[in-house]
Amino acid sequence: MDLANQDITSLQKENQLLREKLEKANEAYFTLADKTNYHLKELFDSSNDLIQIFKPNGEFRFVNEAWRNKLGYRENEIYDLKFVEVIHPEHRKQTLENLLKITAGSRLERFETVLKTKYGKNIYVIGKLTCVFEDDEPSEFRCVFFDITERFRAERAQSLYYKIASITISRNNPEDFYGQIFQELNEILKVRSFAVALKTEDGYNHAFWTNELESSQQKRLNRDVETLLYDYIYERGKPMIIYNEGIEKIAQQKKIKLTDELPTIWLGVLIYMDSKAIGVLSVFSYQDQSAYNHKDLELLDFISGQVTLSMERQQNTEKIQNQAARINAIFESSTHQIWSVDRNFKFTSFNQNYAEAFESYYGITPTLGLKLTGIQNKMLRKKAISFWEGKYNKVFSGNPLNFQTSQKKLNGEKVWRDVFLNPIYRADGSIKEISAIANDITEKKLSETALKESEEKFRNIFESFQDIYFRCNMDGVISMVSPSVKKVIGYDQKDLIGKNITDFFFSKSSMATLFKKLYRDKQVQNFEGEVHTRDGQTIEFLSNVRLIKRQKNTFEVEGVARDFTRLKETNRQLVEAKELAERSLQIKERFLANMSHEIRTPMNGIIGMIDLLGTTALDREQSEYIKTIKKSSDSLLMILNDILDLSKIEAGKMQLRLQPTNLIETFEKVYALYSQQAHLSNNTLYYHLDEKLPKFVLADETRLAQVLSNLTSNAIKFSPNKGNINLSIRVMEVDEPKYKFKVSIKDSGIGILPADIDKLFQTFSQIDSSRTKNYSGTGLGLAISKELVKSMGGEIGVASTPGLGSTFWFTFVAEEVSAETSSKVLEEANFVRQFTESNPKILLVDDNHINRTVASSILKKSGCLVTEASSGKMAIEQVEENTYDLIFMDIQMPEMDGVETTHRIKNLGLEKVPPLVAMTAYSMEEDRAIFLSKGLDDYIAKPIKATALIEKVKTWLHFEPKSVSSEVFEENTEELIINQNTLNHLFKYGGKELIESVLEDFDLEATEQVENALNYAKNGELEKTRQELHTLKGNAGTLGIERMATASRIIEQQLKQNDTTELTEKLNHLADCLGEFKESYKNFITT
Amino acid sequence: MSKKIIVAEDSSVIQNLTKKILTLQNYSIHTVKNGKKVIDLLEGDDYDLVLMDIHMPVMDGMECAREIRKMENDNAKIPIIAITGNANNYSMDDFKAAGINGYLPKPLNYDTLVETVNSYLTNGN
Repeated sequence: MDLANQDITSLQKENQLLREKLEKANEAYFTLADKTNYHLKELFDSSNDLIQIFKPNGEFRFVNEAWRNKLGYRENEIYDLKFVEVIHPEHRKQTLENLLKITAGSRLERFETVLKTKYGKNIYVIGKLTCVFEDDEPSEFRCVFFDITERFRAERAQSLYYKIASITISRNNPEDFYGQIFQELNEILKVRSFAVALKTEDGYNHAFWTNELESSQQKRLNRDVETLLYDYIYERGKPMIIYNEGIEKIAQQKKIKLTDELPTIWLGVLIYMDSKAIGVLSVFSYQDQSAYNHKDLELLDFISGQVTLSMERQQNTEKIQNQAARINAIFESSTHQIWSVDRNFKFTSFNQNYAEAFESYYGITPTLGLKLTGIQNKMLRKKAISFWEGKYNKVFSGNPLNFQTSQKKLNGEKVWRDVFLNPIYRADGSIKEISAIANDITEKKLSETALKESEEKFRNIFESFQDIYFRCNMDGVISMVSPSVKKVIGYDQKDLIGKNITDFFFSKSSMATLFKKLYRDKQVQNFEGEVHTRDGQTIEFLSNVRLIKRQKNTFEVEGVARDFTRLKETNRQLVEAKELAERSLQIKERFLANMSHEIRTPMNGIIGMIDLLGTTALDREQSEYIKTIKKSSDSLLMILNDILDLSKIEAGKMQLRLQPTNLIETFEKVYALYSQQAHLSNNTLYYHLDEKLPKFVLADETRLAQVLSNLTSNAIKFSPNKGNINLSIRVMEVDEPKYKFKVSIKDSGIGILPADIDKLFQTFSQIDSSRTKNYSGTGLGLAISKELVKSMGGEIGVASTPGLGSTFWFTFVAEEVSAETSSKVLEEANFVRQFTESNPKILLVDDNHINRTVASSILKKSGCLVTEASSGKMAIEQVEENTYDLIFMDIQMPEMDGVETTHRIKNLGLEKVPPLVAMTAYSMEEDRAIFLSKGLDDYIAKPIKATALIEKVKTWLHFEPKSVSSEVFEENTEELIINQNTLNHLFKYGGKELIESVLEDFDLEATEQVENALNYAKNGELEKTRQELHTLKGNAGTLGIERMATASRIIEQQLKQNDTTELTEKLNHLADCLGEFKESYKNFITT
Repeated sequence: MSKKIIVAEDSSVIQNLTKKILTLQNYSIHTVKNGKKVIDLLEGDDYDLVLMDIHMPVMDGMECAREIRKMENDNAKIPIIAITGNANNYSMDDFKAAGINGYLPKPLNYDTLVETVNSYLTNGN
């Protein structure tokens, strides 16, 4: 046991010893371990590698100093950190997966991950990670990482450089280009704000702009920070990195208040173009100041270079493209056809024009590479192909060609082209291609052909010309003459050219005349001359010559001459024929004049006898017959007179006998003649005289009255219903002493259709044959009037509205004559209307009872003492027994005619032979001479007219007229209540308004004046009455209130002589006139 | 400035008519009813023409014309045109003696009126 005890004890001792040893060893070990630990730690800390030990739960057990420095944590912060927190979030998953793999026993040669510093910066690491197991459980992870950020960045940068370079090469569109760059920057450098700004005249234009604030926070930036920085970098002229503090400083310096948020770091480089800064490229961040460094700036600088490259390239491309486009535009827009072929005759280019032309010729569209000789087309014949081959070959041998060629189009149209072929020389002098240009000259060609044709045509005309065409210079030297000259005058063309025209043609003097005329008028027509033919004959020529301008100021004469020798002969014959005809006409006239006598004499007899028969006792039936016969014979006489007048006119025998004429009188006469007739057809005839009418004019009163009567009787004839016929005369123009008058005859009759107006003034024309029955007449009146008016220097015309009436008018020209010249006539004129005081003794000789009675009563009425004789014998008896102042002698009398009787009377040996005036139906003026030659002193035409008869008395006896009292004169004229013509005259001065107001004034004042006049007259205050009437007369006259004017005037003049005969009646009449006026004036105003 | 015309006329019909026609011819018209008033006007102001009736109450045209010619201002030379319904009583010599330059017969012709007045006023008379 002891032993056991001893053993135990010894064992215990041994154990004790061992334990001590162990303790010692342990102590040594721990000391060593501590020492080792310390050394290790020191070792680890002095290492640049990042060493870390962490527990499986991620808590750190140990990190060395390098790690702490790199990641920015202090030592005491380590134990609150977990491994996963320092891994970049994007790499956590991968890193954890790798950790699991290692835990599961895998061995990873290289462990790669990205750490994130306390400040957010990425640190790319690579290294070893081992897992320590205890009891098969992982107890800790030990890692040794190497920082490879720089290397990584360098690699990335490398790739970025490469990528950006390739973007530069492949991208054309700047927008795309910048976008791509940004994409790359974003991917590799995590760039989120990037801007490309190009300088403009007044700032910067962002070609590209992306900003993290704008894209993440939807902020709108004013970009004032950028502008400031761009300006700054421009100023400094180098790439720059600027931090937010720096930006603030710059802003302060520039005294600019920035509104945008400042980036924490901003990198900018200038973009250059042709060594001129054109913009700024910038990258910036609002997050991390350490996000970028100078390496990035270098990268940016590189990008800027790439941008420049890209822009230059872009520019070049554009330049090239523009130039190509220009050339292409020229090529395509040319109106020429342009193409080129190579040695194989294949098309190497062609423009649209050529393509179109080609297709229109051959029906196929040309293509590049199409071989001319390979074309199989029926339109492109072998001949054509070989033609072009030949041409091309020539050019390939170095000869440029130009030729014109025609080509038929598919549609059959023929076109002409002017083609230019030129070899295209290569730099080495070889010719591989030909350029061809063709121009469509079809039109030119056609016009050339047309010109040729027209030239030929004219040449033909020229050659076949029958007249002579000639051309000479201004000296008369012939330069051209038509071949016809040979035929006409016997000389060849060549004989004449170069000779002077005067050698053959016109005489020198007529030549001078011709040239003078040519200078003046540039052309001369119907120039007559003589030409000597080769065989010495003289031919008469008629020519038209004109001056033609050749070049500057050189003239030539060209002309056409016609042999009209024969024509002239014919003319002579014609003249003879005409003369013969005229002689025949004269014979006819003579015949007519005789006929007129022959007809008028029996007519006078018939009419006279009818009148006589009418005075005998007749029963009713006989009376009717007589009336009818009378009417018919009157008509017959009228027709006869018309025909004779017209024959006279046609014979040109109508001559005006101009005498001083009082136009007023002429009108009065016509009025007197027709007022009754008008009245019978329920018409009222008025006449209106222009106040500017000269007193006397030189005119043929008879003819004037004839026209006026004609138109007046027509007016009456064609106005079957109640109406007015107004005659008026107006002065149109005055050119002292010449007056132009216009006479109008206005009716309210049936009117004339426009289509009929032209026919009106033709001989024997009545506008509607159906009306002939209604409206009698020869239809010669207007034709005669027209001729008469023409001979009076006037015109005749009509304006008409069918159904409303017509206004016939005519004009005539007459000279005013002075009172002295016309004093004689004035007396005569008065004499017509008035009886004479000294009664002339007149013997009237006529076998015709009626004629005698008519003439006798006229003469008696005019105050003559008339003795009638019915035969020549009785006349002689009377003359022997009594003295007469004047004898009217009919020529046609039985037994002893007028001429014979006159002869006898003149031979009676009387103390004083009275003047003898023939009365005859001979109507022509020249008949007067015949009678005068037969001893008669004067002549008067039958039928006898009162005025003409009395004029004769006056002419031969020089009687003084009895003074004319105006009352009689006034009473004879027709007065109007209101003369519209006068008032219409007022219209032009003040319109209807003026007329109305003036009439109103007159109404008021006249009423008062008439009342006053009546009162004064009642009280016997004659002077006051007269004065009232005087004013009233003037006022009424001025306003065309004619009846009142006349009534006042008559009374005024009566009162002037203190004559109070029928004063009250006359004043009452005046009052009636006022009443009339009031009524019509109201009507007048309302219409 | 339109020319100033005095129209002296007893009858308001002729007075108004003349006034209206001449006013429309762009004359300035002053109307009076007798010669005395013509003198009154001419003493007060300058005028360019006198157109007057010979027969007027108070002072007739002839007398008025003589008075005008006796005046001591510029108006003494004013053209005077007489309007008369009775030219027979006076000859042109009578008118001239009274200092009347021309006359218009009654019944008045409107054209003649305008022409006559124009002829005096456009010739600078």
